[in-house]
Amino acid sequence: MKIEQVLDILQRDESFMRCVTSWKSFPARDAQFMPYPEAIDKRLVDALVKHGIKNLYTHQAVAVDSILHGKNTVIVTPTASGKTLCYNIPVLNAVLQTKEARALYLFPTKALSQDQLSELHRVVSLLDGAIDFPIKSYTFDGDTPQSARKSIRSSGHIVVTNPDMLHSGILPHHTLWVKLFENLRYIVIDEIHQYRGVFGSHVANVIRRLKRICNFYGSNPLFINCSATIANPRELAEHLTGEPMELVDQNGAPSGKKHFIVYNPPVVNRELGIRRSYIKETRKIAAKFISRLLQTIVFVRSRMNVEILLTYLKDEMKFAKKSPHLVRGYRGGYLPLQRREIEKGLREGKIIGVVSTNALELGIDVGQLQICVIAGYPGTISSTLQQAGRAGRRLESSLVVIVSSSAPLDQYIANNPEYLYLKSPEAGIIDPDNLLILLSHIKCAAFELPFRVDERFGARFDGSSGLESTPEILEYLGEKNIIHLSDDKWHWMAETYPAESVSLRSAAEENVVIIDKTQTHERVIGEIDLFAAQLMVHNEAIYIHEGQQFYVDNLDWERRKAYVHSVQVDHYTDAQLKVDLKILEVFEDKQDNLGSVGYGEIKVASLATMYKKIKFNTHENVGWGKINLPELELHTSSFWYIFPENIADFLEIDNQQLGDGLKGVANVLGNVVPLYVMGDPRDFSSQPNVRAPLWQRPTVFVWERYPGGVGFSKKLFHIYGDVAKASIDLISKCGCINGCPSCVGPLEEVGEHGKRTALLLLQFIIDDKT
Amino acid sequence: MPSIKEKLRVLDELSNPKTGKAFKEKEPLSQYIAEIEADLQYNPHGYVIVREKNFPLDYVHGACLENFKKISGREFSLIAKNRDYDQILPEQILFFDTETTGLAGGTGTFIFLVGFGYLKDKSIHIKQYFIDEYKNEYAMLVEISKLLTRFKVLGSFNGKSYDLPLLRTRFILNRIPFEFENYVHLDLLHPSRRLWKKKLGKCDLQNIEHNILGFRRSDDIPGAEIPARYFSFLQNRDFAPIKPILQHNAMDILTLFSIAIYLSNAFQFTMENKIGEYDIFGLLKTFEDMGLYRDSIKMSGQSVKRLPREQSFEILMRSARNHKKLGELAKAEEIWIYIVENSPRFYAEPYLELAKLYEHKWKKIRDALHVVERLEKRLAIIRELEREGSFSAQLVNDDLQCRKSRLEKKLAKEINSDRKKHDNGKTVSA
Repeated sequence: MKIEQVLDILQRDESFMRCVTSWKSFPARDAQFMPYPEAIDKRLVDALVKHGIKNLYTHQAVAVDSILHGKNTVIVTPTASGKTLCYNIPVLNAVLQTKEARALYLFPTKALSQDQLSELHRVVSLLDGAIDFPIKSYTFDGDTPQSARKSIRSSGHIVVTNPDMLHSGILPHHTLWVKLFENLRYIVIDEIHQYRGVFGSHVANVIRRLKRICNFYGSNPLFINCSATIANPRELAEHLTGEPMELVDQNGAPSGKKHFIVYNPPVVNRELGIRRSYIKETRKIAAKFISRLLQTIVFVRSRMNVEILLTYLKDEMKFAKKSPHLVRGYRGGYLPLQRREIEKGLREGKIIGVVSTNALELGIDVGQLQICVIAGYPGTISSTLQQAGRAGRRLESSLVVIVSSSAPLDQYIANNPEYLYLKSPEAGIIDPDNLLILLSHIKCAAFELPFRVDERFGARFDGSSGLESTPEILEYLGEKNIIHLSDDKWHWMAETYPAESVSLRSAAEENVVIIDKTQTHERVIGEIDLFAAQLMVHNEAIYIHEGQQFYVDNLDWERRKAYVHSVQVDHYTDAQLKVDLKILEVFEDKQDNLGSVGYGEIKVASLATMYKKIKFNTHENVGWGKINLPELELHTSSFWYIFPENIADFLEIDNQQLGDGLKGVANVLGNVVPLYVMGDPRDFSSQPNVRAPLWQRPTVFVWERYPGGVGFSKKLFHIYGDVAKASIDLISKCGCINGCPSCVGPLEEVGEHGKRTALLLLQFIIDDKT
Repeated sequence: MPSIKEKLRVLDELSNPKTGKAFKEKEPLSQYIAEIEADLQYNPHGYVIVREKNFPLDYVHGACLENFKKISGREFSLIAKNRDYDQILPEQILFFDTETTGLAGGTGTFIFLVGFGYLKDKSIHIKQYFIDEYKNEYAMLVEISKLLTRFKVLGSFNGKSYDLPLLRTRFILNRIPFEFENYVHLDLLHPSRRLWKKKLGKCDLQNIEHNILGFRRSDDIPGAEIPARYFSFLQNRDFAPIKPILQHNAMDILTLFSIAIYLSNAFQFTMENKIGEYDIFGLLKTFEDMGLYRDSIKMSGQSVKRLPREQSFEILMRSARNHKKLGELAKAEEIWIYIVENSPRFYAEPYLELAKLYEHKWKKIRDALHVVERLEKRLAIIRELEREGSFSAQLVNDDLQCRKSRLEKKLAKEINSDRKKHDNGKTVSA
């Protein structure tokens, strides 16, 4: 069956169309070509032409030209647009010109490195016969056997690795890599939009260290970066590498006609804002495609959902009298061989349906499929577009269906689908200067090479723009006897190997693991951070996970473990949190007409004091208990909005309503922020305050969960008007009556007028803005 | 507004902030240099503290050092299991050992003391280079470079994978060319493992001293303490905790000489103290790996009578194998037969070797078949008793069926052709 026929069927299906909030088609686009730039070695051009690549797409040609002119370049391209040539051409060109030239490729994951290496081998093999020496490329990661490492270090022209390995395996042993660092011409960083938030802030510092080592060996490599579509690719690349960047974002790759459908499952309880399960809806939708043998990829958000949907879809295949083996799962945890087999099956069309986590979102080659169903908004537009990019063959139409869950972000997307199609507003934000992160990496850097007293960490290759605070941080480490000043240099003075204790993807270590002991064998069902743990898994709490109730038998705070067993009770628990918020420093603030806005450093102390047992439906209070947990303290960055003192009178509401409205605003802001800063809702906390300390006025705080923050607050300070607008969109288009967890929060929390008041307050922010 | 340092103090919750140790009055450099009888050596890059000490050749450190002078090139090559050492003379070797700020490795590990030991005149000369500040590293590397270039061969204990790469890293970090990577390098760790691993388990210097060289240091410090002692010296300039490090390093180097002496003894054909001191199989394997089958046989012959009966048959088996490699098949046959007739423990190897020898080399098919049948019977008994583990018996048996049927066929053919010859003879004569 052709895809047009199934589109037709969908259009005539009334119950389906009733839930479609957007159906948009994008016309097919022809390829735009440009000739190879002059500067490329003729042998390379000949090899590519012989292989059928007669011309380059415009973006490839422009990118290669920019790089060959010695400019650091960031390339923004959609999935399957041939971006690897953008960097493989300049790199191979360099090796053809100087046998000794070297390049370092960084990919965010090991799997991706492997995949890119085979791509690289393919391109290199085109040169067979044209050159008299072998061009060697290798992956270097935790799986690389010891025996192979020596020759990779000395003779690999192109070393493909990941930031974690660079951080802990290569940089601290840079003297073993003299050949690489002395001759390093290019540093390729692919998928830079992945390097955001805490992880990105770490990686930016790893790159600062890398540049320091290059400097030591006298090399001056260029950066080539690739990014998915985000609002600020150039800015992110510049923050990440600390070098000025040239942006290439015109796309010359061809594409077929594309249909985008946003599907919002029907409401089953309007009062509570409950919708039909998006997983079950996804099952119904995907079944329409795979049972007709249209090659379909289904993205889900968790490994568990992969297995659940896979079972459903295999059943659907049986109903349709088709082989259930035509549908496969794909996720982390599958063996590499199994994964390769599935990837091959997809490329060759032997597999019709695959249910995957975002493991298949990144550039692993599975060919182009016909249909992509995304179960639950993946959290960012760039992820959504990358997943959607899996569908789309050149000469055929393709279809993407996004099925919304009831999470606030999903509901926002469902009701404001244009957000997906317009220029992406979400920015990759990092703060390489977060003090904690910076401190970790200055330690690692001191281990790698002594610091000159006047050295500025994070300087550009030309020596400019290093961090002013470097000497003070070094002195601090000196006082701690971690480094030692001798003459004009700070030397590492500890037995430890600092990179070992710094994880680039950290924050996980401080999580509480939730362990289900219902059955004889223990089973980990989830993980939550400390701040959430004191509210949700204190002793005797009822913890709700995937719709199932669990009773918390014991929260072992020291070991960060909560032991639970499954129960069925008629109540839930609601913990009371005493939050003490202190403003330590105001970094920037701005006065609007009546209100004002700012961001700065705060200290938050939170203490869970007691919990109430509340009966479902009637909301009766049926008991309470004490919570004995230590106070948690966090120093971090926060954004705040300060309402005028008389805001209640101004809006003609009472104080109770003001309190509820502020709660609603805080909740919705916490949920909407990720639309603009590519974070996770869990990266933020928000807190309403009727009389905030310091200025004694009604205030809403949105702070970052990572100590010190990674730049989100600053970004919010500059875009709070947009965020307020998006919040209004989210609330006003939400199907609930008086508030629900998908918008301002549950009725029990924000009261009868919470939704209305929150809208008034948000509108005030917009109207008041100067 | 809080300063960066104050913020760091809050954020970076290092659990045990070091309480400021009373800063000791800086001991003047000259005083502690005099105390350890060292000299200051200046060069344009700084200064190094150099301490030299002679140990006369009659000094006993587990072994009498005199014996080091007597080690031959042949013995060095056997110790190293490498023929490149054939021509090496004891006075060409420069032993060395470093003391560092940690075992983690990587560019942040610093060498603050390099000790050397070599034959000089009528003594073992120990020369140590110590730096009391990071800034003098360059000066030290320049000085030790000068010493290193005077020698051809390095000697160490685990220097191939630890000290030398670390030294190389330090040279690279100071941008000094490192020309010692391809030196012939006698790393005593590996031969020590070959000969003593079975006896000692963990082959470290301390274990070797206690159990092989037979002495214990009286006031030595644990190696694990060394980095911390140096760090505290850097902070408070109290030299007292450093002195034992210098002593420790000097003793380590002397021990290297003794180890070399003990290892060289192992390869001499005198059986004095040999059994029990060395892993005899490790010794024989060294000979064999170097193709010195005759030497292995000779050593086997000397040790076989002194070993427990059980082990002596394993040694005999080795000898037979070596004879076979040398083409001395009759000798090998003799030993195999001896093992078959006398060993209390069952070995399949001599049976199979005999069968192969008879069948393929000497074409005595009947004898070969006879050996195979005998082996079969033996295996049947073993299986009956289930003493030696049915698995090995099964394993041998599989191969055996094939061998037996082949031999039977060959024999039948032989008999046939004999008969034919016989018949032919008859006709002719008729």
